[in-house]
Amino acid sequence: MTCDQLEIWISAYQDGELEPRRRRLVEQHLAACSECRTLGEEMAALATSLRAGLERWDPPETLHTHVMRRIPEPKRVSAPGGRTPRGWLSFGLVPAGLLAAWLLAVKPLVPHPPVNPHPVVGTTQPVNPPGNVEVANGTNPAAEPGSEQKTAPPSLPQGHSTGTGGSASADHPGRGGVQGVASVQPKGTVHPKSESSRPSGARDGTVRRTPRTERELEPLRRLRKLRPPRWQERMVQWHRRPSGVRLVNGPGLAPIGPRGHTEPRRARITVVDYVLPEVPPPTQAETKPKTEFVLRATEPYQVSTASYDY
Amino acid sequence: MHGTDDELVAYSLHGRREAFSELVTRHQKMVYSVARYMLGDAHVAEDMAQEAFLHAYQALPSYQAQGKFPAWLRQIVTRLCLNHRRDSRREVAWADLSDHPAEMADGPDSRLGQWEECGAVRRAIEALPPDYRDAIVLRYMEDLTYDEIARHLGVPVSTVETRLHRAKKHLRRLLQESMAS
Repeated sequence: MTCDQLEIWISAYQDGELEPRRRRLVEQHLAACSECRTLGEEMAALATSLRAGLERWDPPETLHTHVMRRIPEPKRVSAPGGRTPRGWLSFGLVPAGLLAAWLLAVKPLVPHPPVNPHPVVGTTQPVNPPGNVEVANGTNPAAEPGSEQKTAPPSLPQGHSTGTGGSASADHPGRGGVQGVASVQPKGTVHPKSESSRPSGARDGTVRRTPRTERELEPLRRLRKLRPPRWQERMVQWHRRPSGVRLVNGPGLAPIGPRGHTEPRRARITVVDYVLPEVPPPTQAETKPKTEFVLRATEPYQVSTASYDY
Repeated sequence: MHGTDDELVAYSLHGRREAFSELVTRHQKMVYSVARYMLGDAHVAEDMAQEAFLHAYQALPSYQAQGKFPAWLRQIVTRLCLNHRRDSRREVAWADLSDHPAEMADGPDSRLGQWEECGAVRRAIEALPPDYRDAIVLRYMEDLTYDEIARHLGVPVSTVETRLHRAKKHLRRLLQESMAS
């Protein structure tokens, strides 16, 4: 190596920062080259004078004062055992109060029907209180997201509760798979307006019937399989959505309430219409089938059409 | 207040301001000197020193007690100075400032003494380009290794080697000229 190439190593050698292999090379070169030896001596002398000459500055007298003035006061240490009562009041009791208010205000007014393992089927006349909320998906072009004050979905004509699995509907042209309504009554089995089909004692016009035939049961079984396992979490996750919600892959998750309500509300969902996908072949099993629903809320308003409990 | 730096850090984390006050007292000279050499302006250096201590106070929970509080603090002030220099894009004319008496932080008597003792070296260092000056200050004032300088400045070790070598060549020439004049 030439002297120019070794110069940088000579500098590092004088600082004691050279790795052993390079150090041996430099030492061999310095033993043979007087110019580089002189350079090395000058570098060492320079380092000595730098260490002597580079003194630290005295800081301004105001530095300490200014620093300590800007240091914030330490936070008050809370009592042993965790939060102070004030903390619990501010953070813990608020949700509890909201829950209590909800239980007092909403629950008695709109009691939950018992969960029916079987689908609730068939309706006659929807009860349409002011401000009822309909949750519809894209299968119903008239039910736009956010729409309220609807009485009955246009896509659900009276007697439309006859659609069942395997039958394509004219309301949903071009959609493959199974289409129908949750009140999976065979055509003509239950007329929606038939007073005779409403058993005595049924509230708000809801007719609860157990599906009888295989044709009725089969799409309901498929719907149950598609129910998300942790639907409550998803409901909470969606609780700030507007009333119009497009639900895919499972009902029972929608936030239902008048526009402007932001607190979570447990909503029971009525399946008005649904489109089941075709069952994929085993080779394409990784593509999860999606089911689209036209839904209607049953809470906080008792809107009952073809209802379906989950 | 007594104790090691790590003990004072622990006291500070428990809300004792006097512990952090002691840390400021101990290390303000180092922090201010690094900032002063790197930035070249007494007022900006004081601001940077304040910022460094504030950053350190806020980052105390992340400090790992290994007896290396000065190195940790030096790294903070070095980074702050580099950021300030990069952001502001204003380089102080070092030669002019160092000749100006108002730029000396100390009183007139001590100023004169420092000028006589190490004026030539300081002026030569202040005439260096900023990158070279940083490396020289961290190496010969703070006694950092090449690896530590590289970590402080965020550059490879080979870059530190090159900068130090060129800075020394530059200084050697400047000091020879100074002695000749």
